Amino acid sequence: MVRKPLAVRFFIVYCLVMADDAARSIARQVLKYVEQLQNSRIIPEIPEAFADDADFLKYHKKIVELRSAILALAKGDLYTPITAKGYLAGACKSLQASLRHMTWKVSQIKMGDYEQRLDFLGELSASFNSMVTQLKITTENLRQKEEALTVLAASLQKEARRRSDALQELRKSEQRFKYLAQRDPLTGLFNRRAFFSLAEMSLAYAAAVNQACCVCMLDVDNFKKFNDRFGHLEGDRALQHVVKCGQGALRQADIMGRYGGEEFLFLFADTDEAQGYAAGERIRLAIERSVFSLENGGTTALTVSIGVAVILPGKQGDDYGQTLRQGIAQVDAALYQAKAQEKNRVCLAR
Amino acid sequence: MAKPRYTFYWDLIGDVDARENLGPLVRVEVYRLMQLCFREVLEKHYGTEQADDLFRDGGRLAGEHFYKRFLADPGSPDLSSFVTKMQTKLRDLGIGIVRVEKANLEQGTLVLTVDEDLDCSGLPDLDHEFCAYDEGFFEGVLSSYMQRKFRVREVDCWCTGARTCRFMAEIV
Repeated sequence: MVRKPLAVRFFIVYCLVMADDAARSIARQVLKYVEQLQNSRIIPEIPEAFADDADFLKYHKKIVELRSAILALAKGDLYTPITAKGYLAGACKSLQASLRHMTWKVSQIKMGDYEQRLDFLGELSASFNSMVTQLKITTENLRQKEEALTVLAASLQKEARRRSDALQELRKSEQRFKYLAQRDPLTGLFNRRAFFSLAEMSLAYAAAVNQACCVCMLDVDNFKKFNDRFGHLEGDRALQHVVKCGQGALRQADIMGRYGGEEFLFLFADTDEAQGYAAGERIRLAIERSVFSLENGGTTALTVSIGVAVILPGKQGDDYGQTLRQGIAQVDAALYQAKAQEKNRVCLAR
Repeated sequence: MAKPRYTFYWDLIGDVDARENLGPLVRVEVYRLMQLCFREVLEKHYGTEQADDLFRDGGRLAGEHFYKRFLADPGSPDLSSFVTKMQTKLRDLGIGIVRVEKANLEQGTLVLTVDEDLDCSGLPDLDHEFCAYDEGFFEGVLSSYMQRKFRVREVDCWCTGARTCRFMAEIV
C-alpha cells in the first residue's frame, strides 16, 4: 500500500472534518424544522436547502395533514379525511373510527337501546358503559314511576268522576226533596207552607212598589157528595182537573197553592178589587165550562165557589205573614157567603 | 356452461371437530397463504379487476351462507340488534372486530369498520384497497338482512398495527 504524503493526508482529514460540520449543520436545520412542525402553532417554512426536494415536500405535506387531522379530532370533528398512511396516520384514523363508532352507539342509546356497550377505548369505555348502565336503571325507574303515575291519574280521574256523579245525584236528590217539601203530592201545587212563603215574598215586593194584591180562596162545590157518589179516587182526579183549569186561568206572577182538602188559595199580584173579582170569575167560569170525564166513561160538571179579598199595600217591614192571615180570614168569610148564596159564584170580602 | 361440480351448502364444510389432535383452528398465515396465492393465480389468469370480482362474488356467496347459518332471525330484529349479533359472531369466530360508524337505513347507507381483519390485518402497507372478499362478504350479509341488494366498497384501508378497514355500504 502506497502511503499518501502528509499534506494529502492532512487535506483529506480537513475535508472530512469540514464535511462532517456541513452535514451536522444540515441535520440541525432539519431537526429545527421538525421540532417547529411538531411544536409550533404556525407551520414552519420549508428550509431553503430542501425547497425542491420531492421527499422532503412529501414528508412536509404528510405531517401538515396529520396536524390538521389531530387538531380536528381534538375539536370533535370526526369526519376530516386522512389520506396519509403509516403508523401515526393509522393511529389517528383508528381514534377517529372509534369515536365515530361511539357516536353511533350514542345514537342507538338515544333510540332506547340500553344494551350498547363500548369495549375498545379503555377507561372511556368503562365510564361510558357505567353511564349507560345507570341510564338504563334510571330510565327503567322513571318508566315505572310514570306507569304508577298514569295508574294513579286514571284512578284519580275515576274517583273524580265517581264523586262528580255522586254530587250530581245528590243535587238531583236535593232538588227532588226540595220539590217534595214544597209541593202537594196529589196536585203538584205549592203546599200550604210553600204558598205562604211565596205569598209573603210577593206581598213584600208589592209593599215595596206600592201595589195592591188580592188573595183568593176556592172551594169545590159539593165535594163530599161527589166523593160519596163517585168514590175518593175520582175525587182526587176531580181536584186535579180543577187545578188544571185554575192554572190555565192564571197569569205568570200569580200563585196557586193547596190549602187543604178541596180548598185552594191564590195570590194575584198587582191586582185591585175589581181585577181580583174578575180573576176569580175567570177561574170559576173555566171550571164550570169544562167537562170532567169520569173513569167509567161518563162525564159530570164541576163548580166552585170563590172568595176574594184585596190586600192594600202595606209598609215595608210589616209582618206580611200576619197580613196574609188576615186576608185569608177575609176570603174565608167571603167564601162562606158564596156557599150560602147557592154556590158556584165569586164573592168579594167586605 | 357445464354444470358446476360444487354448489355450496353448509354441510359441505364437514365435521370441523373431526381433527382429533389438531382441532378446528388454523393459523392466520395458512388462511392468507391460500387466499393470497389464489389471488395471484386468478390475477395472472384473469387480470386484476376480474380477480377482484371473483373474490367479491365468492365473498358475497359466503356472506349469504354466513347470514343463514349464524345471523338469520325470524323475529326481524332492528338494526341495532342485528349489528350486535353480527359483531359478536364475527368476533367469536376470529374474523374481525366490526363497528358501525354511521347508519341510515332510510337512505340505505351504512359505514362500518373492521379491526384486526382476518384478510388484511398486519399486511405490509399497500397503495390500494385490498379487501375485495370482505366487500362481497358484507354485501351478502347486508343484502340477506335487508332483503335489498347492497353494494359494499372498501373506502379506506390503513395500517395501525391492527389494520382497520372502512367499508361503505349502500342499497343498489
